[in-house]
Amino acid sequence: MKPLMQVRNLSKTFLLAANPGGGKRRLLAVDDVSFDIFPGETLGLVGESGCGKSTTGKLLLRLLDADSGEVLYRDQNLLTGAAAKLRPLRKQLQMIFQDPFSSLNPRMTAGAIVAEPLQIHANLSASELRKETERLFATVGLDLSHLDRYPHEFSGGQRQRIGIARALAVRPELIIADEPVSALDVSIQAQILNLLQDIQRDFGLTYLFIAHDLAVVEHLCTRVAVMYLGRLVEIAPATALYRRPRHPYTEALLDAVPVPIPGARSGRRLLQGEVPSPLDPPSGCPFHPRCTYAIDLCRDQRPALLDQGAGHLCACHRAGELDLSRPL
Amino acid sequence: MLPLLQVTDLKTSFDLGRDRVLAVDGITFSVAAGETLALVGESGCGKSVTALSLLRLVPPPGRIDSGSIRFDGEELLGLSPEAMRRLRGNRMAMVFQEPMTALNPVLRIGDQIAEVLHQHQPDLSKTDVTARTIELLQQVGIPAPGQRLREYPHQLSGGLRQRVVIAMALACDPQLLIADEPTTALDVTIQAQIMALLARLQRERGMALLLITHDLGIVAEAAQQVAIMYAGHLVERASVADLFARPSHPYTIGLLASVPRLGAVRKRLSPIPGQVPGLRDQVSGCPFHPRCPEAIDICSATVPQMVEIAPGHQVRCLRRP
Repeated sequence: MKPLMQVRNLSKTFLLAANPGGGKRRLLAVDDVSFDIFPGETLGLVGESGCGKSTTGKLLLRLLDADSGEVLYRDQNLLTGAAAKLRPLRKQLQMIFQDPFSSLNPRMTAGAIVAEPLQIHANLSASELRKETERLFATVGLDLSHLDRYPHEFSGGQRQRIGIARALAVRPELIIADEPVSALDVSIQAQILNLLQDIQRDFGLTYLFIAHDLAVVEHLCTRVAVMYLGRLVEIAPATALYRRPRHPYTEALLDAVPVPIPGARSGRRLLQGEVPSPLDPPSGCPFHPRCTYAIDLCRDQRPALLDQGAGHLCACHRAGELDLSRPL
Repeated sequence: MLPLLQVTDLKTSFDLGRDRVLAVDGITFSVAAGETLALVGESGCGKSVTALSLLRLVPPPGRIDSGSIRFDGEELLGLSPEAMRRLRGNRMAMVFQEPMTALNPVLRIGDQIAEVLHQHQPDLSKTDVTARTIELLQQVGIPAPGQRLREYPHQLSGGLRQRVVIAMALACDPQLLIADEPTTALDVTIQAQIMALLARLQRERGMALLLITHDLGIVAEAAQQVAIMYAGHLVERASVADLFARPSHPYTIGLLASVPRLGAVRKRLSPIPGQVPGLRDQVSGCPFHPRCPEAIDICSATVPQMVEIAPGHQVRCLRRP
């Protein structure tokens, strides 16, 4: 199957304010990241805070400018060319943000927020616009009486529904959802996850789902990519990644998730230490200082992201010999 | 044996202009010495206000209206502010969700811990205070504590900051530690480290822990007893084993069905319909009835009472047992 989007060697450096001693500090937030997104799939992008997953999402839509690399969508590189030329393509690519409190304009009504992308991208009469907005409200489970209310009058879950309706308005192909449920209460989180699955089925959507909650990602995603210190360390079909991770970092992440079954996880191993500073990343494999399986080679040489078979890619020198499979 | 903490019919309200709303609406629970009780609920359910009430730190316009908080045989609601101040941070301490707001950004972390020791143990010499500070930082797993104590909060990662806050809370060997979402702001691998740290410190010191959380995974792993809170009421109380094996209140059942579980067979989630009620939303009868799949007419008219359905397992629902 031909990928819907191909990301090749994407890199992004942030220049931080100079030290008191002088000299700009360089933070490599996204480091040579490549992956494909296939039509109809939900690709999860996971990792801890600061690993570069949100930056990657923003680079794809050019909300941030990449240093280098390509993002191919319909054979066109989104990272080059004038922004205006991209506008028709942008319609196909929408984003849902984490914080439904800061991603909606507080001075616009919910109806106006959802209608705005239609005004930009579709040529509709006023009555058509109203009808389309009402249809979108119904699709995401918002009451039509809420059309003229302002964002502050809604709860977190309802605001996220407004954000989803706005993203859906222009009938996109691909939605990048950056932590769309992590700010929500658990009972509301389940409502939004179901809604995301419903609209995916009804509108044939493809998702890049950026999240830190591994249980939510397992529930929703068909494939999962794991990032650590700006690099992609593993990417695989979800079942393979959760049952038989290949990268020790993925194993450590899965081990750290608390399970709502008393006594279920007594023998788990705890990852020691903290994520090293991205300003001063370790040599070789970025994970080697915390890795229980590290050997000398890991300190000296950076492992490449290699196919281990069946579409399971992993960047670990010992991927071939380690068995990290997990009991059911 | 008397429990270490016995809270009875506690009511805390906030004055919101014309209305006075009950954030905590008559809750009763106890924590035994050395035990962990998890207080579980969603935002706005009153769990944090409960914690602040125990320490008598409810900010105005809030106030404790009535009830009783007995701690180690002593009624806290009758104590003078001075006696309360001596107890707080000493025999009863608290760890907050966001370590950055609990730490003073312009004071070195060593000085912040020393301040707690000075307050409650004025007889300690300066060298003793420094030695004790280093020992505390060591106990909470901060590397190179001798150097670290001269650093400011912004120089530490979120995980290390939370360790400092825990060190401060433990400075005077409290009998009860109240931890309000202590790991919610942290990454999952750091969360696992902090929870393991709390478990170890609790074991070593025989300290009781009131753990406030929304994460049922953490409840299952860290607590022995659990109380589920909804809209200012406790709706279910049980041992952790009973709660997960036989959840009874429709809200508890709904919560458990809402969370995707690692390694579970993938099936559509069953969310609780509707919204989490706000403080101003006054609901008649059972506060959960508008969202409850089992609600019948009487649920909107009658406030249910806590009923014991099995030894140590209590539920507040008109449809139980």
